[in-house]
Amino acid sequence: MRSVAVVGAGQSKFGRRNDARLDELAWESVKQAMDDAGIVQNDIDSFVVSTVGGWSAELLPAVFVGEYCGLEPKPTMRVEAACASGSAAIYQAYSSIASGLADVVAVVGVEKMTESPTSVAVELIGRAGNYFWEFENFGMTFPGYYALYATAYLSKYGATEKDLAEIAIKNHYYGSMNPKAQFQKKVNLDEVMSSKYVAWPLKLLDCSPITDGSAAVILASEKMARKLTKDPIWIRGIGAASGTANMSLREDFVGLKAARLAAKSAYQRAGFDGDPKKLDLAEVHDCFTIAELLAYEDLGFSRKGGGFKMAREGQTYKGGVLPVNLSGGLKAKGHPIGATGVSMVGEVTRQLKSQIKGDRQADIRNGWGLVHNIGGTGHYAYVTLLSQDKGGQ
Amino acid sequence: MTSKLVSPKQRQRKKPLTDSQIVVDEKTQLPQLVSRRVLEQRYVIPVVRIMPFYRNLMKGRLVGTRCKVCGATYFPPRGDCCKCGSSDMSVKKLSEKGELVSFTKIFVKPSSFSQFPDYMVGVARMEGDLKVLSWLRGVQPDRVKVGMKVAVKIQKRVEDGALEYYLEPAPS
Repeated sequence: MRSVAVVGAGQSKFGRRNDARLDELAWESVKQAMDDAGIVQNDIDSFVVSTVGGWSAELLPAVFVGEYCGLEPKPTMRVEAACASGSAAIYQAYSSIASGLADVVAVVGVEKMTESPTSVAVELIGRAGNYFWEFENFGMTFPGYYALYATAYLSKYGATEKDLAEIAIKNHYYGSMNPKAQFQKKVNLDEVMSSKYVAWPLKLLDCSPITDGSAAVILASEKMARKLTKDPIWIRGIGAASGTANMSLREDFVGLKAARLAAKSAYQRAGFDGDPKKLDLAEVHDCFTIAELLAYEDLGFSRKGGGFKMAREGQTYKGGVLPVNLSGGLKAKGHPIGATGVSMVGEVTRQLKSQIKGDRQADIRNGWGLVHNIGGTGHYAYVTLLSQDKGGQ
Repeated sequence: MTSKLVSPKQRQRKKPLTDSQIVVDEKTQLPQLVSRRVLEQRYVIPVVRIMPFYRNLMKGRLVGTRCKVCGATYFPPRGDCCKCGSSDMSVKKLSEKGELVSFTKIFVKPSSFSQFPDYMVGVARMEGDLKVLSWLRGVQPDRVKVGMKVAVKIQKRVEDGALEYYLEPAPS
């Protein structure tokens, strides 16, 4: 396999973006990413578009975006892995470069969720799981699915809703420093605890919002990366796994098996021993506060049942064991579903290059970062390890 | 100062053509096209291979399936065994008793469930180890505990006529 590097990254402002159509929104990130890499469309061999859709008008987002961005007639496809679509698109681009099929691939994640009313978005996300057995008769919702995990986790380990709130407080704190975040304001314990229940025990401020946004990265082979930049960030390993569609087929509700398997595979490929102290930062999938706690454990940052103590002790702020979600996470930065994974990889790339302004820049000591991106409720899982160091011979 | 006087020539000019669906969003004051093309969508899903499940449900029994060849058991029920490749399946009656693994109460409902009062959803591990996800009825949320004993019941749901299996606390 050939080495693959991130050589450019771009991201739009996240939020309610009714000032731009899907293709226009994508262009904001594609333009930034191409400028960052110092390339033009002609330098790109193919592009992968990550969009879940359903709430937005265009049914063929890859060609719609390709045409507007001047990427036609390059090969393309749309990739779907629910909320992990962005990582799946990167996995696809990575594979085509690693295999020698392409040298430069653009990955574009874009989602326009506010083209439909909020109630429609809630309905559609709730249908994502198993429509036949769990939605048709029981009206499950996405917060509802994660609430099943929250209830079981709190009950088994004696964690509390206040522990969940700590995640929201931390991520809003960092989001307040991110000019591209949907919510650039801090929240306090009272505000989180007094927000309305969405799906017990999860409250509004435990949930990531409905978001429009785009993100793009340019991946390149070693030969091209060396030509384009002096500081490529290498993709050292991507691990992926899937889970059952039906919640009734899950072994337990205190962790995501797919995430553990994806982490194991990514760690093996990258030769990483799982010690969180060797990472400078991690971006993890906090679509709900409980999801971040599960991530700490599934990724091996803490022992099973110890994730909430990390949150309680503030160990995932800068200066702790490992800073997590310095972007504000899905919670505060926003969660434009197809763009999220691409945005996470772009964020870790820029962090490892110390390009972030202000206090949310991590201290880069080891040159390693991690991205954990979950689709659905552990229906899909992707873990990606990035490094300043190419590794190998 | 600009003059508000309108010349006779301008007065005769035709009113500009307008499109009623180009509107200004109230919150952001940004112009939007509100599409005229409305789609109503209703799925038609085959139940051919799981008809034994429905026939049993109509008799008040909740069943999964058992593979006649390798003995694998499934809930939800299915027509094909992915473990051994056989499609020779029989019904497997689920135990009516189980233990609650987790639960939630849905306050923000999908729009297609807006006619229902807020509902609780539970997952139970039934005796024999198959799990069932359904509504949890007959108990106040503050009395529900993970690990409590539950039973499966079947009824015709008033609001939408669905033949529904649900969990409720088992008499102890």
